[in-house]
Amino acid sequence: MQNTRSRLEKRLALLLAATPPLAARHTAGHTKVDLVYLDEETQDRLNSSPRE
Amino acid sequence: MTNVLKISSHDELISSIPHTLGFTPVSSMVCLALGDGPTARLDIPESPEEIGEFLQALTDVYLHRHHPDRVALVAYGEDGRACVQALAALGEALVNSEVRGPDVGPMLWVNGEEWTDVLEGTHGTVDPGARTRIDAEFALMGRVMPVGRREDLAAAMQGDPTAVAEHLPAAEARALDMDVAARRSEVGWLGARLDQFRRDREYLSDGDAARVLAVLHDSSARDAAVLSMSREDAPVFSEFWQDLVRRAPREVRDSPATMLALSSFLEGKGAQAWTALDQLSESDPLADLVVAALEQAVDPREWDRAVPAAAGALMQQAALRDTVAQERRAHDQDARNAPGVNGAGPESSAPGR
Repeated sequence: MQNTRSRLEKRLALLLAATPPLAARHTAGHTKVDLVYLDEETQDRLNSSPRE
Repeated sequence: MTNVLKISSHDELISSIPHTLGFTPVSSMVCLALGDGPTARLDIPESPEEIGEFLQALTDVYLHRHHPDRVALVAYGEDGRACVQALAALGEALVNSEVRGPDVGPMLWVNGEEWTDVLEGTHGTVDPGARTRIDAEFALMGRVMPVGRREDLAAAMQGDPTAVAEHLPAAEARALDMDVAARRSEVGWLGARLDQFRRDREYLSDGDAARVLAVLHDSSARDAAVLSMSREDAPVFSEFWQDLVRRAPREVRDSPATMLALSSFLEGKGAQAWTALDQLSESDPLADLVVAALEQAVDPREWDRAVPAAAGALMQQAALRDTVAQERRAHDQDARNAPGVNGAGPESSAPGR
């Protein structure tokens, strides 16, 4: 059974469309990059890592 | 900020990566953003053609969509030549771009337990003590230990649907018979059940699992489930939806898989979100939104802000409709109560109505 897009989903789609920076739109590709958004504590830990 | 432990060596940085990704990368480029922005993982390109897509995908993330202060690049693989070429090409693309990019460093090639700092020309072997220390720190933070490989994420979504399948026909028949009021009540039940899971983490009985799967076809039920999630509690809901994906019969597995993709995205776990999307048998509007969010590297905190806004806008629309309807009813009532033209009573029909 195929679900149709609800009003909430339509609204989210509009908001999503407004989210990416304009300059980046032409580069949107289909490569599946695994992105990880860290919580604040883990990001703080990572920020401390040395360059060398 | 309390008890923030520092990463003080390449050994500790390398040891932390499986915890960050949720699995141990193989033949991969891992980009760790410092300051702001996501960590990214992508396969090491195997041909000159793939290098273009590889660079485009990662520069899109770190030059256009996010702006970290520094990016550490870690290439995993046995093929040192391919890893170093990928490191060099990506480092150059980030540093020598037309727009201001992040600083880059360190740049590490990791082969098993051996690492090479490509910029500094130093080498080393990951200290088992550093790995143990990092494992222990993540365990103390209450984190789940990473799975062995990325492919294991998909294996963890497979289960036995037999028990739920026995309850499904009755649950679907019940859902089909519902009138509007009953359906609204069922959506309320779903919301309450999700709230309960958030509190007690008790998985659904087979009967309730079938009931959830039957009602999820309803867009208002899915909306309620979407609205129940935030970035903060997404890990709990990922447990809920992953359990349902494991137990759902094939014909109703797409809906919980879509919800798992959304909760995984909100958690910030891109690989798990892609893996959940790979479970779908056909396209789905909500799944398409999650794909767009992943492809556009949308920060889940943005989604978190968008959902209440979207819900608020819908509620405003609903309130506006209610107001208009009330005004119309009041107007109609006034018209009926008013003396009619030429003494016509309220029963007379006015032109144009």
